[in-house]
Amino acid sequence: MNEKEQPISSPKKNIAGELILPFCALLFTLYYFSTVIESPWTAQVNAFMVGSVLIGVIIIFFITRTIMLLNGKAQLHLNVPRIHSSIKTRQSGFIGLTIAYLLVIESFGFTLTTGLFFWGSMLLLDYGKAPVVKGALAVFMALAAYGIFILGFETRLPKGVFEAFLTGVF
Amino acid sequence: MDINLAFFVELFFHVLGMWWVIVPSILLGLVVGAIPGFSAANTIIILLPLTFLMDVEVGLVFMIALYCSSRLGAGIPAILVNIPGTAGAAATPLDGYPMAKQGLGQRALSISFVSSIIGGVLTTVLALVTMPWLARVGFYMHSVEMIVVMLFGISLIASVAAKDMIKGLIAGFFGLMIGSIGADHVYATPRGTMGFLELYDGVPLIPALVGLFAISEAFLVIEKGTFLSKTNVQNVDNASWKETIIGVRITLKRWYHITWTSMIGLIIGVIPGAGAAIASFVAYQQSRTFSKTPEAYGTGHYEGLIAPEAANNGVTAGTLIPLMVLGIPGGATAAIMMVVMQYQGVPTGPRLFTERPELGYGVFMAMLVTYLLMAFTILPMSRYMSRVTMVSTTYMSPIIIAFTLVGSFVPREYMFDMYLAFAFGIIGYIARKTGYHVAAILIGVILGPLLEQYMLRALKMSDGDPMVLFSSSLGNMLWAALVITLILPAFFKRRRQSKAVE
Repeated sequence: MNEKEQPISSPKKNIAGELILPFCALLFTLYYFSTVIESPWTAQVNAFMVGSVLIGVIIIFFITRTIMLLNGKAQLHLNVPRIHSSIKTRQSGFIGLTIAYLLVIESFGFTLTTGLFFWGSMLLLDYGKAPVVKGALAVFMALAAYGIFILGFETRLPKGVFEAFLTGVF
Repeated sequence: MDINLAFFVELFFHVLGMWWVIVPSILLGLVVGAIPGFSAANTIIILLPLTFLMDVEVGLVFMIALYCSSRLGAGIPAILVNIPGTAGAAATPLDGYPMAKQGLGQRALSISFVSSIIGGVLTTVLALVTMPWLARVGFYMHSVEMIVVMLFGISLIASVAAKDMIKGLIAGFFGLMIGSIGADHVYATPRGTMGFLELYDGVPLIPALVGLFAISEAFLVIEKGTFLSKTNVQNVDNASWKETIIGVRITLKRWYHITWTSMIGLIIGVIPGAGAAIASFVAYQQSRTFSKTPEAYGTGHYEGLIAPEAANNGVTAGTLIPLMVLGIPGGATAAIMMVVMQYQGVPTGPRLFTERPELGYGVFMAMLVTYLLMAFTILPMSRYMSRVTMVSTTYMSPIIIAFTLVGSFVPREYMFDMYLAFAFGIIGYIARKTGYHVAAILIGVILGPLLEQYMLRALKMSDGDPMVLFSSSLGNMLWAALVITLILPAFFKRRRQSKAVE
C-alpha cells in the first residue's frame, strides 16, 4: 500500500487504554471495602475516606469519557497501531522471559538464571545477532552480579547448582 | 575544652586527615545508593562487624560518608534512566529524566551534584549552629502537625496531575488505596491483602519504586530502541567539560533556591519518622508553587531538579540532630550509629557534647568534609556517567530488570517482593502508556500509610472527634500555610495572565 492509498488517520481519541487503570482501581477499591466492612472503625476510616474520593473521581472520569464517545470525539478499540509488530513481538518475548526468570530463579539459583536471562533477552532484543559475544557478556555480567550481591553484600539470594558448586570449591 | 572557632578549625583539619576513609566510603555509597534496595543502612549493617573493629572516630566518619554519598548516589539512575535508587530520590526524575532524554544528562547530573553538595554543606553548618533549638522541633510535631506535613507532600499529586487533573487524581488516590494495604495500626485487621501474608506489614516501598519506575521503563524503552533520539545521542557524544561547568553555573545562580529547599529538608529531617521522600516531595511542591514558571516543571526544569536534590541532602544533617542532642535516633542509619556508639562506650545525647565534644561536633564536621570532598570526586564523573543513556536498550533493559528485581528482594529477602515488583511494573507500564503519572501513584504508596498512621493516632486520642485536627496552634498555622500554598498557584497564574494582557 503506498502513501496515497493509506486511510487518513482518525482525529478521534482512542480511550480504551485509559479506562484500564480506573477500572482496576475501582475493582480494587470495592474489594478493599469488602475486606474492612466488618472491621472496627479504625480499620475503616482511611479506606472509606480515600476510597470514596477515588470512586467519585472515577465516576467523573467515566462520565467525561462517555460524553466524549457520544459526541464522536473519542472511540473505543483495543489495537495499538503505533507499535511496529516486530517490536511488539520482542517486547512480549522480553516480558515472557522476565516472567520465566521470576519463576525459575528459586530452583536454578540466582547466578545461573541471571546469566541465562541476560543471554536470552540480549539475543531476543538484538534479533539473535552475535550469540557467542552475547553469551560471553552474559557470563561476565552474571559472575559480576554474583561477586557484588552474594560475595560483596552477602545478600541471601536464591541459591542453586552454581552457588553450591562455588561453595564446594571455596 | 573550649568550643570556639579554633576548636572547629582544628576539628575540620583533623577530619580532613581521614580522607583515606572518606573517599572510598563515598565511592561505596554512590554504588549502594544507585542500586534500589541497597540503602546506606543495609550496607552499614552488613559492614557492622568491621565498624566495631575500627576506632570509634574512624567508624563514625565511615558511616557518615557512606550515608551522605548514598543519598547523592540515589539521584544518578533517577536522572539517567528514570530509576530512583531510594524513595528519597523519587521526585528527582520528574525533571531530571526529561533533561537526560533531551541529551542533557551531563548537565542534569552536574546540577544534581552541586545542589546536593551545597544543600548538604549549608544544612550541616546550620545544624552545627542551631542544634539545641532544632532538636526541639520533634517535640512540637505531634500527630496533627504531621498530618498537615503529609498533606503538603500529597498535594504534589495535584501538581503532577496539572496536565490532566482527573487522571492525576485517579493515579494519586489509587496509590493511596494501595498504600492502605496491610494490617490496620490499632487492631491489626488485615485489609486488602488478597490473602498474602507478605502484605500484612503493608506494601514494601522498594518493590513499588522499582516496579513503577524501573521495570515499566525497561519494557517501554524496547519500543524506542535507545533512551535518546539520534539528535540527542549526538548532543551527548559531543558534550565536553563545558556541560558540567554550565550545570555548575546554573545551580550557583539559583543559590537562594538551594538554600530554602535544603532548609525544608533539614526541618523535616529533624522530625522522627519523617524522611527524605517526604522532604523531596514537599520541596518540589513548594518550589513549583512559588515559581514564576510552574508550567515548566516536569519538562526538564532546572529548579524542579534542584529542589528535591537539595532537600533530600538537607535531611541527612537533620536526621542526626535528635540522636546527637537528645539520644533519640531520627532514622534507620542514625539508629545503627547509636548502636556503634553504645558498643564503643560513647554516650549519646547531652552527655556527648560535655564528655566527648570532638565526637559530637565531629559527626557534623565529617558530614561537611564529605560533602566538600564529594565536589572533587563526583563532579568530574558526570561527563562519563551521562554516557549510560547512549547504551542500547538491548543491554540496558535486561540489566535494569535483573538488578532491580534483585534490589526489590534485598530489604526483606522475600521472593514475593520480586513478584510484587513485577506486578507494579505492569501497573507502571499500563499507566505510562495510557497517560497516567507513575510518580502520582508512588506518592500515594509512600505517604498513604504514614498519613493513615498519624490520623488514626490523632483520632484515637480524641475518641474519634475529627475536630482534633484543628486543636493545636502549630497545627492550625500549618493548615493555614497549606491552604495558602494550594491557593497561591492559581493566584500567581491569574496575575501572570493579567500582566500578559497588559
